[in-house]
Amino acid sequence: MVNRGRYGTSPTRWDILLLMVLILLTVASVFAFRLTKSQGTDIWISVDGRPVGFYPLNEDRTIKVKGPIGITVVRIHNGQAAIIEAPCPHKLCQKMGPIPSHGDVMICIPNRIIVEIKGGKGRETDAITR
Amino acid sequence: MPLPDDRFTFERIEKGAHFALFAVFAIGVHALESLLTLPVPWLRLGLSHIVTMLLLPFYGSSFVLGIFLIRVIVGSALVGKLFSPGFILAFGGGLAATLAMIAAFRLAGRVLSFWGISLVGAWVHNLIQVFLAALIIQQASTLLLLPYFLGFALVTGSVNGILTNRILAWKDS
Repeated sequence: MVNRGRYGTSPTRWDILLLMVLILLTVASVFAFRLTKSQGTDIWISVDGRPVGFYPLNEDRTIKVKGPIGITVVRIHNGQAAIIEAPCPHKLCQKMGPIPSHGDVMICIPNRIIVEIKGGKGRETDAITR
Repeated sequence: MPLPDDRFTFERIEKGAHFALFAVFAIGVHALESLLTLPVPWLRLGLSHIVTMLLLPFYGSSFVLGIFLIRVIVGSALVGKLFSPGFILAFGGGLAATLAMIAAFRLAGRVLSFWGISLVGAWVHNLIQVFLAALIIQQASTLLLLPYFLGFALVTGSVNGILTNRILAWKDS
């Protein structure tokens, strides 16, 4: 039945029901991103902006990376990368891992090291706002 | 070449004049709203959708769709955003919202007030907009914004819908 010209201007119980359904769907949308996360295939390590290594994620290995203040140890295990030893004072980079997905990064600012997961879907643009 | 008489009935000319008038009004609302700065880019109050809802019962679906197309193109050109990424978002989201509100009004206008119709429009607008943004910048992580935008839509959709209810109730009183 098509509605022509007739309308209501007082809130109805259906408005409230619709609002509740939309609130539920809004809460459920928290999970939308998880469905799109893609497993990365490689890690890319750079020191002070210069690339120093590119390793596949599917082989377990331990990599020692030399930075300005010492050696940072990166470990690849079970398709995930983690920093397991760092010379920096706060060890924030160790707490950032392990990371498995494309676009994930671990950064050690004192030792100038960036470990980034590549491969899988996605492109390296940030954002355009207008 | 003579034209059929019904091309120039009073009703048709009147409807055309109303279309032009409301198109200018909608363009004005759209342009002013674009100039309103909100803390997050892409966030809009959706005031133009109030115009859509006010016209829908009196002029019908194709009329409000036409008003939408003109106001989004001319309005964006006025504020210098035509064919920018932001325009693609406004166009895609606005078109989806307009169609959703038309569908909601035609199918459920007897049981929903404009509060419900506005909620559907605002929610669909932001849903499509976030997906388009994720496509344009090729970052799936954009979808992390989805809950915030959809939550914001529930707020603006409610405000716009209740305003529309009040305006039409006032008109009929």
